[in-house]
Amino acid sequence: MTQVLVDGIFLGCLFAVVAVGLTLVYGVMEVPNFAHAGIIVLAAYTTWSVSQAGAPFVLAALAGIACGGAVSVLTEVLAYRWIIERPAAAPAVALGLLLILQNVALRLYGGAGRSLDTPYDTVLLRFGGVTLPGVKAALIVLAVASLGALHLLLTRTSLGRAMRAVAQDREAAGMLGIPMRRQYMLAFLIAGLLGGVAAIAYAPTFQISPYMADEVLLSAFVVVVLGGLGSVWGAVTGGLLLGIVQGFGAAYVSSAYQSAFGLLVLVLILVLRPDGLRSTNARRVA
Amino acid sequence: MRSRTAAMLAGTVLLLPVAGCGGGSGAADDGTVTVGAILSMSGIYSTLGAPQQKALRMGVENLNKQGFVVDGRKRTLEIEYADDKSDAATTGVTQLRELTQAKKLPVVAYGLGSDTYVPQLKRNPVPMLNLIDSVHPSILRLSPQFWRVRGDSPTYVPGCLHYAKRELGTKSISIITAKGEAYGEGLTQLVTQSARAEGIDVAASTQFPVGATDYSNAIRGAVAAEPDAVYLSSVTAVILPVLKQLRQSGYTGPVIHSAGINPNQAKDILGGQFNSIMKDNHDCAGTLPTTSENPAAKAFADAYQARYNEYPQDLTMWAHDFPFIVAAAMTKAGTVDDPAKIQKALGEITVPQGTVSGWIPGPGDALFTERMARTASEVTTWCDARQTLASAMTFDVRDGAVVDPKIKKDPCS
Repeated sequence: MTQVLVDGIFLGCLFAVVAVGLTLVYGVMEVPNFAHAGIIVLAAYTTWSVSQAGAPFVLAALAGIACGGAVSVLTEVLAYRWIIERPAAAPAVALGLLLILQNVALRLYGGAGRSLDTPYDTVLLRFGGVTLPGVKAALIVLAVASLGALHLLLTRTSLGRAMRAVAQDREAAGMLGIPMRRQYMLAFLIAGLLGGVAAIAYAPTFQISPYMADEVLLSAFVVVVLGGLGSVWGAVTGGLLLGIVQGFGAAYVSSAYQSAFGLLVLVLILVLRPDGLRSTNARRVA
Repeated sequence: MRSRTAAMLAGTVLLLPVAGCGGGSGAADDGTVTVGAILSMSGIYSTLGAPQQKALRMGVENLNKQGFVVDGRKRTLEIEYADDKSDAATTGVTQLRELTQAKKLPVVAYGLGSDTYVPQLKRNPVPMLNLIDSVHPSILRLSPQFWRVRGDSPTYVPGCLHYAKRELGTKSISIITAKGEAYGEGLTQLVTQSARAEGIDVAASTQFPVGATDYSNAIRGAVAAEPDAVYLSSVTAVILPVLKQLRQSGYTGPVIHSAGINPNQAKDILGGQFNSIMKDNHDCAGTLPTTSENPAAKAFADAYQARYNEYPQDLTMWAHDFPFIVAAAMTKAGTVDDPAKIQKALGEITVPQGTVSGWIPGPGDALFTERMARTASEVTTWCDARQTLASAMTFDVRDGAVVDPKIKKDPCS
């Protein structure tokens, strides 16, 4: 039981980190950013490349996170910025960007899987009959640290307050003199950095490939809808809920239908609370 | 007169492109015969397509040193390669149409996606030789045009359990399967049957959805039953991450699979810890050219490694032999461009000279028995001291039972 809960929390933390990046962008710009999966892929490959070049893991990880942020900002500057007034085009542009980013990875690194080695690969934590591999423990720590930092940024800084203002009412924020483009760019930067964190935390448990983040992205979108579109803390709550439900469903019903339990919860939440766990009215990006 | 000449010239100019469009029967005037190959040279399955292409190139070069004779005329072979981009259902089908309908190539080799090619084969039947897919139930049931240049899963899975019981002392086994992945699901069926036949208890059988990235629940269910060994049912790209998480979870016992993992793939996908993760790993599938006792297979393995600096998978030797099989069928059929006659001849040829795979002939010395050619099967074991594979047992399977097993004592010595 405790082991299932711990495994569920691990999955939940992964979903939450990816989903918060998605919901942040949606909250500010109303873009379903499918390209986020491509950003995770490029961040993972960058970490792997730098690591292969002989750099210490910490340096490689920082390079990967920076790459995530840079590529994410590029997608905003080169693509999303130009369709801000045409939201109907956003899903198509997002899918196109995803294909471009994945194919860039495919072209540069090929389709074969790669492993990201970490200093804690062989660590196995044991407490009270529960085991937790070092790579999974690291993901939980990184998720808590990065989401905590984001919380401080959004609530304690003027940058964060401006971003929340844009998310709540773009026109009003513009009239108050908040530079909109800078806020869009900032949202994409933070989302990309979180994508980088997800990449370096999650790749060591799995493998790096151009399609490594597809399934996680799907779950993250379920989380975003569960939590309420645009709600950061809704995404965190939704992520943990989805991870734990998937864990218990797999353990006590069937592991073959692990993903299906999440979709079942989504349907239930949408029936009971159509706006998601946390309503986003006047509360986006908070 | 001048106007008639001009009209003839104009007519010729107009007809030339039409003739060009309809041309390309697979045979050129210089005696070169062209056949097709649809491989996954990019995308997720490029780990299969790229080595197949390399081995096919070697096969063509070796065949063309002597050439082959069809209806009294000396011929050489060339292969037109098409990339299905790991997407047989869309790109692969388009490529098949291009090769067989537009270019009228008489034979096609391919890797994955058999079911997606069936409608096109009904419209335009040509023999298609599969170089890799050993899924159970067999792809051969899908179309009479399919041939398989390797044994199917039932020719090697029983050997896994035979070996596990006798050499690993396995009395109970847990199976972890990729749900929704045809090869893995077929393997699980066969492992369950073979375990029963060997008197091995299936302690647990767990699944994870194909495409999943976290296998904790399936792993925990399998390990909680405290089996003597764990069998992983799927292909290399899927099971290596499962194996990694299985070892990360603390399981240190024997792991068995039929994925044909080679040391290069283990290093790439498992990373720096590959040697400890691969420890106590046992793989049962077709014989490998590197571990084979067949001198021709060994020579091919050496040549492949020297040329490409990579470990040759079992599929490379089958791909190498494809040009020789096609040449033998064309010689037997007396034609290089009639797919129906070549299809018939494939069922009549014996093991061609120059092949390296060590084919086991069927009744009447025929290469194909019920459209399947096969080589011996093998269990390989990981030798952590040498960080590579070694042959632990070679065997054949007839009527579901292991025949003529040759177990090597201390294979890593």
